[in-house]
Amino acid sequence: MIDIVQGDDNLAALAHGGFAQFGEALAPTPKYTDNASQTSFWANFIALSNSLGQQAITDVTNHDKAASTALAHELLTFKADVAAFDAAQGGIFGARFDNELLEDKSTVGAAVNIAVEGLRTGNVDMVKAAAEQLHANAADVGGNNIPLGGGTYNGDALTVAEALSTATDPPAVTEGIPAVPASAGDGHDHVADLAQHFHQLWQHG
Amino acid sequence: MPTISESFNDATRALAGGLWQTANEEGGQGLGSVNRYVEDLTAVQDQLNHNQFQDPITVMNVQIILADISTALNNAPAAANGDALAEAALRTAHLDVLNVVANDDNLAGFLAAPAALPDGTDVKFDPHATFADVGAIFNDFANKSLGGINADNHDVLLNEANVMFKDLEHMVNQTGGQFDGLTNVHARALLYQMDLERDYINGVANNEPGGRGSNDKHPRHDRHRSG
Repeated sequence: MIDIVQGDDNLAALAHGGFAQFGEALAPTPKYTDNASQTSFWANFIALSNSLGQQAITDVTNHDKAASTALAHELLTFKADVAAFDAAQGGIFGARFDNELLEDKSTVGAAVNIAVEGLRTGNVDMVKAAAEQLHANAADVGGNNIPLGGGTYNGDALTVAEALSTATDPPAVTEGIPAVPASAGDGHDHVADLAQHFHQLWQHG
Repeated sequence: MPTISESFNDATRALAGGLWQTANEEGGQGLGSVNRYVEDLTAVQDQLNHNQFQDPITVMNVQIILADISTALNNAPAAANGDALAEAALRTAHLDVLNVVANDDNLAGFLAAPAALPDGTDVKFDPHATFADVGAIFNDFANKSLGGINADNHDVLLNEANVMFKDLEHMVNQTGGQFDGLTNVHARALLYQMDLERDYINGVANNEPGGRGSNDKHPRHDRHRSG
């Protein structure tokens, strides 16, 4: 939340010292090393965040109501699938990424809902802003993860293959948000990670 | 080597929302912020012990800081395990260090904690609240939750989160809204994440004290801890 405010000149100016930043960390928070399922998730997440956002701009600009309606449905499905995967991970994965991924309690939820609202009302500015946020969010969280096999994710990707084009030795990945995620939270009790949640919610490491 | 203030500022950052630890690493994320906090304060302790301050006031202040650091280090493990008293002691000691250095020109570079609201401030929904008002509540929230969120501070923090949520919701949803373009998306994300914050606070409540019984079945060192 601190990063959202301080990263937006308008909000930072309105805050008048509110949402104050903490001091610089001596070392950056380690990137999260993904398993195969999580690698598949992030590759699809990046590709869909970018491609759905671009398609939304095209549809609303063309005043294509049928396409806009269909895409709005696709965006809402994307939001639900992303939230389901994130919720199934739990553990520190959830602590780090709930605020980005967890449906209407997250950045993705905000961006998707505004995109859908823009598609339904034909508001190009809303859709463009939402698409920009979807891209920024995908690049942000992609940059906080290491795919299985090493390397990085390509945050600008429009396809799964492009998303893994900068990965070193990625596993085989199919298209679509994984429906049955492996639980990264095995062995973690519910109390666990809450401090991590708070810490990550306020400020990226 | 980091300076004294750099190490202490890193410790303050680690303290935000409380310390945590885990016996099983996940995703290369390490074993918890408590280790970072202890390393930072130990580094501060070592450097202060080897500094040769001449000003008698500063020499006295260093002794106060060293005592506070000792208190913080002694309470850090219990705080990471969710002991509310330890979390409070940790917060008090940490804030006392910041208070001491703020009044000593020879001890510079320490960043103050987010500002607390004046004592007695009634935090409640205000349809005329500004974004700055919400930001001031957030700073107070961050200040009060340094060291951890627990059964003792749950109610006041949940109230603050509720008020921030309602104030933001009013700003975002009122006719026309107060924000445009990408800032509107950011404001909505902030609102949504504030809702998530409320879930986390309630998660603490659901595990303390009654809910903690089930967790007590786990060996202490196997537990992650909430703030």
